[in-house]
Amino acid sequence: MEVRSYKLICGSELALISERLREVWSGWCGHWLPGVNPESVMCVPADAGSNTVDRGWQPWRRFSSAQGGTFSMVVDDVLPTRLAALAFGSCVPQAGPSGTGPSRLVADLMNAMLGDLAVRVFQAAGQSIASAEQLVQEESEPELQAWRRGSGAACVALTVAGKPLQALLDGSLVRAITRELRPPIRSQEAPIPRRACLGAQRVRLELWAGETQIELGVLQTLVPGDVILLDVRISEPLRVAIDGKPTGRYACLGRRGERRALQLLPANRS
Amino acid sequence: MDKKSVIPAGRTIAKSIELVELPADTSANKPAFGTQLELIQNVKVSLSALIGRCEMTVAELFALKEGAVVPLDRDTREPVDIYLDERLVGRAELVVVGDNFGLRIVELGSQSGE
Repeated sequence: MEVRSYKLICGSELALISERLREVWSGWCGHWLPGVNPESVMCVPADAGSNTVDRGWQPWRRFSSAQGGTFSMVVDDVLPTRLAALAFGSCVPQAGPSGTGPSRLVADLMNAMLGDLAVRVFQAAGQSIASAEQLVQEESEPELQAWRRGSGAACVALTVAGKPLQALLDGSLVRAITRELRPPIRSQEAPIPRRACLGAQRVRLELWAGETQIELGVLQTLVPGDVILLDVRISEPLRVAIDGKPTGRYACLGRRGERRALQLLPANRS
Repeated sequence: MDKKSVIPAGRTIAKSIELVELPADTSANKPAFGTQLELIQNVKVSLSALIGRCEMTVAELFALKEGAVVPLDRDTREPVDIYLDERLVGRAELVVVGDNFGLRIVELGSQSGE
């Protein structure tokens, strides 16, 4: 059975992620898109109930760091030309030599821009990443579990020129970015030894008078006044059980005042 | 095993059994066994008699010494409980039958609703 950690991202963590990514987004836009003002940065937990990312048929690019964490972005068909247009206007040829599809130059430009964005995100998470070559790039979706409730992953929409760039920070990256919000580890009370905890648990010590095997047909005919013979002699000790389970210990039956009572026998007589 | 039912190796041809795949469950509305108690009247069950019990903590239990006397929750005049597979089915007076303990039935659960 799969075991995974369960982390819900709280409001202060979302706010911090948004703040850090706003700095990243602002720096990135300033570097690659001079004259274009970065717009909003929206951050929500990645679980399917919170985000509105249309994951169906979306091509993703995933950047992974050896120091932990993955950063994924939706890279649709129009993104290369859109980024190129924002960066250089009409200076960069939009179409390839055949006239269909983006030019190689546009694709290379986008790769460099997205790689740099990923580097800046990992740097915001405190990682010493200097260039995109230090990251593993894959044309693949984020791990499926990132979309589950409690994954700790976050979706961000980085908007520029009215259109968002959808991205996902996995739980590891979110933890790294929000590290400063974690409460310091306080000295906590040491757990009590388990055996000591048992002491207060209540159990029932029972005394049984023996048993008998009886056919169901006979059981059906029994009436008050009938006598059933048990398998224990009156000279023999009686079985002691705890909550119905035999203990292997025996006792003799007597009374204390008006109450029935048992006296525990030594093990060698049990 | 009866010697006549043993056939030495090589004297006969024994064929493996191949089980036929059964069709899908076609349970009808009619019960297969109904509630015919006579079908199970020879089935043996175990009746036990609980004389009494005492609730205590684990710490108190572990503190008990051999020879310790523990008062139970039952008055000496109260009946004992009769259990069938951990379920209370009746009450009885604890008696002696010859050299053995016995139970004289005082009360039994009704047969209806079983």
